[in-house]
Amino acid sequence: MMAPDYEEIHFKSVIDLLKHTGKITAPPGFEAELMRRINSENYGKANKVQWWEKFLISSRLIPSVAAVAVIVIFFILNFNSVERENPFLSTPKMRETLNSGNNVQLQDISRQNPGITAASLNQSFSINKEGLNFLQVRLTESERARINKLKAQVREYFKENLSLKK
Amino acid sequence: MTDKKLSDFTDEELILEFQQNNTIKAYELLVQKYKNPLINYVYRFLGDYEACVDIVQETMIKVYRNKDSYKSIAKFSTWIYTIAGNLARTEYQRRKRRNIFSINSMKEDDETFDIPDESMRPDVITDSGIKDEIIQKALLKVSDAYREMVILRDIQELSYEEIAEVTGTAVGTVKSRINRGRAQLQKMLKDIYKD
Repeated sequence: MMAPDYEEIHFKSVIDLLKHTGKITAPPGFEAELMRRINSENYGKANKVQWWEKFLISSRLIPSVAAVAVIVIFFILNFNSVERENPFLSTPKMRETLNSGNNVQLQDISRQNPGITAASLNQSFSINKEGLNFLQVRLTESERARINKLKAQVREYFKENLSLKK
Repeated sequence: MTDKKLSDFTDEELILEFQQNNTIKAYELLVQKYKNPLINYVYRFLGDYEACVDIVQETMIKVYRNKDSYKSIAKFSTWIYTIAGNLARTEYQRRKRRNIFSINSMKEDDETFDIPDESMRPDVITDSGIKDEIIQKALLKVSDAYREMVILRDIQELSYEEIAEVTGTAVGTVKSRINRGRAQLQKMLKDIYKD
């Protein structure tokens, strides 16, 4: 036995108290109950039948095979009966332009309300650049003239280069 | 192999005999030897006799079923204490959660509960009677991490190394936790040990 360390001496009274507490014992028949539990669990394990094994019992085998066959046939027929459009053979759908659709709707509205003309409706519903918050640059006459001059120079440059290559 | 020889076997030899030859008698001898120390350990930790009997039975069943998982490098006692300790800790946590839940529901419904006094059961009453009861109540008030180690050291008399193995904690931590647990107990039991 190891010699007691400093702490064990410091707590000697508590340690002594704990050492001399009464010993709790197992109830009578502990082993018998234990062996009964072990045996019942072993018995339960040995006799446990898996769920799928229940279908293999001879009396249930034919009905279960028949049921499976019916389900399989139903799925095969059901799958074939659905007419599916081949996307590679069908013609692609045309996308209607937004403007033309709008015009039809506006004409309908103006027909129902004689006071409102299609043109006025078109103006109020139409989307312009200002509404879309475009960055608008206002050019002065001199700036515009300078840009046109540059454009003309670029055009001439390309013309000359292309004629040289030919 | 005769029974007389088996009774001379060490614990490690008994479990090996049970592993290799499935000798039930070897298993029974181990149950006989460990049932009371384990009951004492688990009872001191949980404070509920019925639950502790159930846990020790469960421990023995685990030993029976998982006998092959025992490796001869370890001491049998630490192995079986580890199993019992794990089960006891799980049960303790389960009870703690349930108690929190029932206390909350009690607040709402304002019901009263009669808590059975386990210490007054005839199979629990020990020689030192009331003193034991007070010690048990004090033990249950010690933080669980310290309590388990104090029980293993000062009641079950396991070595620090064995406790470290059973609880999966470093020896240094074991020592410090035991001393903290002892200090808590010393405060609570100062009136007793002065007598």
